[in-house]
Amino acid sequence: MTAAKTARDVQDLHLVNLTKSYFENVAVDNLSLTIEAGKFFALLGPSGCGKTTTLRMVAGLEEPTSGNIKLGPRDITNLRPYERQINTVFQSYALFPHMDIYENVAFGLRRRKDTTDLDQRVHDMLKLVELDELARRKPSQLSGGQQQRIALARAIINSPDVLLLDEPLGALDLKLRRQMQIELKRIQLETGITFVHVTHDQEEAMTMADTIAVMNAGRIEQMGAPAEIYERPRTAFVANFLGQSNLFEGEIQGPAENDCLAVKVADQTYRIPKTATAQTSGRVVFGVRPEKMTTEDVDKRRGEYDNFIEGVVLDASFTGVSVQYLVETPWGQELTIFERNVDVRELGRRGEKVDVLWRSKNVFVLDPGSDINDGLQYLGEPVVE
Amino acid sequence: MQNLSSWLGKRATGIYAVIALFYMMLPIIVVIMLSFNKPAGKQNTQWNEFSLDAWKNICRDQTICGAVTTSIQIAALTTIVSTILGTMIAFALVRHRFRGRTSTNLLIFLPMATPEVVMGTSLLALFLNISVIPLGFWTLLIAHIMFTISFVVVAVKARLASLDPRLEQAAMDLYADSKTTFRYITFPLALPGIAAAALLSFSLSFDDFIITNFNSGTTVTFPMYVWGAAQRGIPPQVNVIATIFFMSALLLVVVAQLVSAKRVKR
Amino acid sequence: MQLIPTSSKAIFTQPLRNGRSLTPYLLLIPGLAWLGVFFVIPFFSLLVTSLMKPAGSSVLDGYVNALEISNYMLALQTYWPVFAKSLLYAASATLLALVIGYPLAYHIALRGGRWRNLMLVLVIAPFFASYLIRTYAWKTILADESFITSALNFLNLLPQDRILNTPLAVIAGISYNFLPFMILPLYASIERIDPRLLEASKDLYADSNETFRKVTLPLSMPGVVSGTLLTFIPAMGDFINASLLGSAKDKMIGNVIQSQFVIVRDYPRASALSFILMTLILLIVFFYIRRAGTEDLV
Repeated sequence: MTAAKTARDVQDLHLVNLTKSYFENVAVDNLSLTIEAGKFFALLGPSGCGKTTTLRMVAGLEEPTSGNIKLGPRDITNLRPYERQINTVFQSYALFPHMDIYENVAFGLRRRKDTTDLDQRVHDMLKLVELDELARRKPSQLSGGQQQRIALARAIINSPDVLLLDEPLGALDLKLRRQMQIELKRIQLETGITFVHVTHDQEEAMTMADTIAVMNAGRIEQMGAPAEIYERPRTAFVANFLGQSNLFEGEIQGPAENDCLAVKVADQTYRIPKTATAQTSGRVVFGVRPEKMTTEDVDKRRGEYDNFIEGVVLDASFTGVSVQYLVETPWGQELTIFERNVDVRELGRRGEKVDVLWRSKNVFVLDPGSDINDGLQYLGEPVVE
Repeated sequence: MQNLSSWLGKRATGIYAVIALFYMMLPIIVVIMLSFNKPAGKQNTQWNEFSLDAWKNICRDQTICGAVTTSIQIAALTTIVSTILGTMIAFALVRHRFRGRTSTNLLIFLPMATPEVVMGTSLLALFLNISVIPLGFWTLLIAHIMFTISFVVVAVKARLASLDPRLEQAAMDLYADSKTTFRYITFPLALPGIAAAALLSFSLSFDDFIITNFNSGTTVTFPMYVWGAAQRGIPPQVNVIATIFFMSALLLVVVAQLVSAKRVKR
Repeated sequence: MQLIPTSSKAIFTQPLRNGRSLTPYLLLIPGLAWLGVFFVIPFFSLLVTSLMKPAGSSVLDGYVNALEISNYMLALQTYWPVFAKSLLYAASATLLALVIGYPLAYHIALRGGRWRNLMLVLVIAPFFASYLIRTYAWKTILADESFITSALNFLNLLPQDRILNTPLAVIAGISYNFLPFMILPLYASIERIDPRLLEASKDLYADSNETFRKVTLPLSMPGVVSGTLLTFIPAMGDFINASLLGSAKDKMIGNVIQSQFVIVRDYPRASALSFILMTLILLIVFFYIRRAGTEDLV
């Protein structure tokens, strides 16, 4: 593939103290981060968290109020969009309706007067996105998925240092979205271009990205590999926005057996691993993912786990691969449990008493002072903005 | 019976539309028909006898063709100037932020909301008071440009406002600077609106009578000629010219429609 | 590899970028200056002229600047019945155009299907046939011995046994001539209505009539307001229809202004009449919009 220049001289993208405010509103708040060259980076957050504004500042479509954007050692903060080796795949694609597919893809190269082997390169690029036979069609004759690929081709053909993707899959249906996720990842690996992908869809971010930065209210909440931030969320916002969590607030009582700390929640005591926190006393907020909890008849298998809550089933729903339980704790908190559909007991009935069991090694501990409801308001947010 | 009434109910608006459109076309059909008439007397209002005389000798009366030429000259110059000025204003309104937007919009709206009699008389009052320019060709040109600008602004603005600003951003993102973006993206996409505006201002200018009537001096435009002739009888040549103008404008509109329909489909 | 030199920073105004750019003003000035000099300033000339007094005993002596407020009094005293008649004709013609135009706009917008564009072209077509000539054609259509007049007479529907040279002809002519200005805004506002709203209304037990009264009509009000204004305003100042289709008794205020200015050459009186007409229209439009509660006109 001609487009695949794996050994590229690409450079890291640095955002330094980047701030953007509109009158009183701070959209992006003193943001600093480094995006490693050649990586697939995802900016994840709910709508209005400042992720699109950040992207547009990198593209040059928005002027930062303060702060800098650097590509390697070079400061590009004040460059016009057409002076940056950065391209964007726009939300809703922004394909030029009066030009055919070929001319859309060739647009950037023509503007840069980089027209050696233009025809060959355009066709190669169209082959990369598997749409070469549509070269002379107009954008309006293409399906959403095809338009999406053309938008991608139109950007990638310029071999940008960084490719920005603004909710690129938002307009596609679920099946097509899955397919395009794999496609995007493949193209990113083949071209070796740094991808910065803005999305509010956590599954999309986790499927594709090497690194995810979770954004909230103009700031980065947490950054890391998908598995790392899923397993070890540091804030309640991340725990609740990226997947679901059962969060508890308690008081550390002191050390317990097996390298654990004993924590008192309401009038019950639970164990959390010592390694998960630097705290040794005081208020602590910890959590367990729903799929790491299980339900059982009361007092049947408590010995196999080091934590249990005796609760009342509020709701049980069968979803095929799993059973989702909603269980109320003695102190009135609602817990969500995803139980794999393997050797499960009979489906629990509403009002039935059950044990909720989990192992302390599956516990994560949040930064002290976290509000356990932070980020919950985004549950059930529509997928397409 | 039940079936008939429900059939009528479903198609009532359609049947009505056909009748209403026929009503709208009726005078035009009469105009075209009378262009093939050989009038019995001076007035060409009654069908008398089929004849191609008027079509064969459009310029039999030299003043008609002189008036048409004057009208075309004024309309062409008006179209050029007001399309340029109006398009510039439309671009400023849609693509830029500036102080005084509300007053600009008001100034654009007012000429369309003022009866032509008032505009015609006040302009005449101005020309009478300053008397720098004698009434005639140039005062008409000034007046026509004045009252067509607003229509151009509205037509071009509507087109520009319907364009996704992301298209221009995408062009900039793809290494096109401001001039190039305008040349390859903004202008081609705005062109249908600009063309419609030009056609509109040409027909408005060509057809204007009221404002012209006040500011023409001794210059005779085509509508002025028709007005003058109305008293003693309009010759069928006038119908011929009206038919030609009508058919050309309609042809342009239909061609434009077909082109844009083709663009959307394939 | 640096493809574009950093220094090539063009003067560039991005879409709605907040900057102190001169570009918008450069774009605006020529057109707005034209309107300022040839649209706004003439109103002052009109005002000045309307207050002039004769320089000598004859009209041919011309006029001199003065503050003759009495020009207005005299104009109103003499011509208030003409103003009233113009108002009546223009309002009737507007109403007639609304009644004729609404169902057509409704059909094109909601049931046009593949005929929609053709019908729209036919709606604007009269616009390309010369105003004077198409009005003149109505003389043929409405003539005393014409088919329409005979038919209506046969049904005994005509109080004066004729149409031409009656107020009816003037009103019909005006409403015909401004019909496209009525239909296009109506079409635009009906077309904008989400068809799902009409389905929802029917789903919620409203029959076709109720759906129209409770959903379609209220949602198309902006079109009704701008359509009626775009018809009424030019209708108020029109004198072509009254000249060609009406009798001497049916003259409107436009006819008076026209003859006073062009034939009688009583500039102050004609200017005063013109000024009164404009004020009257502004007042009517103002109260109409207040009543209709719509601010977005264009």
